[in-house]
Amino acid sequence: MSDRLNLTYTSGLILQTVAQGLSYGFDIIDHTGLPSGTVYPALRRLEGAGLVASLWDRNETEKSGGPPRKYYKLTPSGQDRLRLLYGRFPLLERTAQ
Amino acid sequence: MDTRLTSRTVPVGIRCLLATAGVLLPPAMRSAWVREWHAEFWYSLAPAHGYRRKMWARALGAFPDAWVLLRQDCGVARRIHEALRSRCAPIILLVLLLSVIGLLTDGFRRGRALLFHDDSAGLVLIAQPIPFMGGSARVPSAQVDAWLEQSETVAELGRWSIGDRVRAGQHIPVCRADAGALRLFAEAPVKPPCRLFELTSSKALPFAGVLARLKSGAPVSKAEQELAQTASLHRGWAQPRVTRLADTRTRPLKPVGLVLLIVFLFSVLAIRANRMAAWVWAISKIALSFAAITGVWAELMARAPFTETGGIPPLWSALLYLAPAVAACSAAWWLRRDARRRCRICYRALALPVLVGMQGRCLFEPGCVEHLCGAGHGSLLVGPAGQPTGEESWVTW
Repeated sequence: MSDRLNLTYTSGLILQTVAQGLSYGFDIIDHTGLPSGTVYPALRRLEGAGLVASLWDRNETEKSGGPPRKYYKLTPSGQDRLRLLYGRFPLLERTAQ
Repeated sequence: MDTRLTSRTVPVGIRCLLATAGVLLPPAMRSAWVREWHAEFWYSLAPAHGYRRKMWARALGAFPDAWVLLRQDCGVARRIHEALRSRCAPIILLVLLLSVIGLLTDGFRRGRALLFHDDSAGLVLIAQPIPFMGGSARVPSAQVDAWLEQSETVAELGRWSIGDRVRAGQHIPVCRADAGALRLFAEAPVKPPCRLFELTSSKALPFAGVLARLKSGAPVSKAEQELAQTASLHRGWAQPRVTRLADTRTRPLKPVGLVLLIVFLFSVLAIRANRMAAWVWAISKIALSFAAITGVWAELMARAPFTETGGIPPLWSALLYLAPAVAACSAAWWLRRDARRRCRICYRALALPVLVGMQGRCLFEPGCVEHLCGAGHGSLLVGPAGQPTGEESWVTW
């Protein structure tokens, strides 16, 4: 399914942000400057395509006493796809550097 | 200085917004989704300036997120089907229906004006009862003149008659009215059932419908007494009857209101017979259904035109007397049928019909169709299978 998914620059930017280690939804929003109505649907699509995976972070809960938070991380196929995207969007690679 | 938000500082409005967006998702996915969004707000750092607006903008993103998740993981059609089977869906639909009717009728304005105030501005209709036959007829114009000469109650009156005109092969009803009648029509909340109005002299109408406005404080009975005195002036003149325009329009109120009340009580008793624990849901649905029927009916009643003989046109009579009764009976039938196919404990629609037992057996395990409650409260056994009038029994686990 991930092969057929035609990723836009925005999705690539979100994928790259996750790859840089910014794994929480609001952190991605802060970093990219994209609205939440763009970031979250894109994350759902990427997760549905198997490019990112989501997990509940219990460590943060133990530290701060807050509710468990969901974080996103890149899957191996997501990393492959990101490399392909660097070829398609050179600006994205430059941003990453 | 940055301050960390706690769950208490997540504004109630944002929490309500998240809950509203969460309605798009099926219950199985909703709680995890809401927890994710809530946690993000909880851990957000809040710069002192303009953070609330930023949070609100972020919270609005929950709607497209829920929509994408719905389309991706659940399917819109499946969710709609699921939502329609839920216990609150009919209530929400009925409330929406009532709101739409309320908006279209300007908050049931005309119905309220008729039922709670006399919106007819003291107007009365005068018609002549037909002895032995029942019904009413138009009044001789000369008798009206005689009344007008000696009356102390009438302030203004007008005469009119409904005729027929052929235009482009079609019969069009035309109201021929004198100047007084046209003036009173303009004041009246409803008009005769005509599209065309023509000015004519009162002399051209030997028998006419009469619309009058009585003087302030003048009772209808006194006007009738005066008219009774004119009856003896000429052979063939009878005593006309005076009816308030408001009374003509509210005439269906008692018989149809009684029918609606009886059918409503019947529906409530039918729910009681089912021994339903979730009776609040069922009664709410019945009450809202009957409120919708009554609302539409009252609005129609307030819009019913009047005839020369002080009544309502036949088509409108059918609409005002028969239609609400038919609608109430149909609603009662549907509500009873719907209540039988819902869980007695939680009012969810029963699903997964399966054939149990053996068809053709009478004593041991006869063939029945079992409908299950999705929440596991019990099952409804309908049987024996294949027979049109099978018995039903509710089994609680």
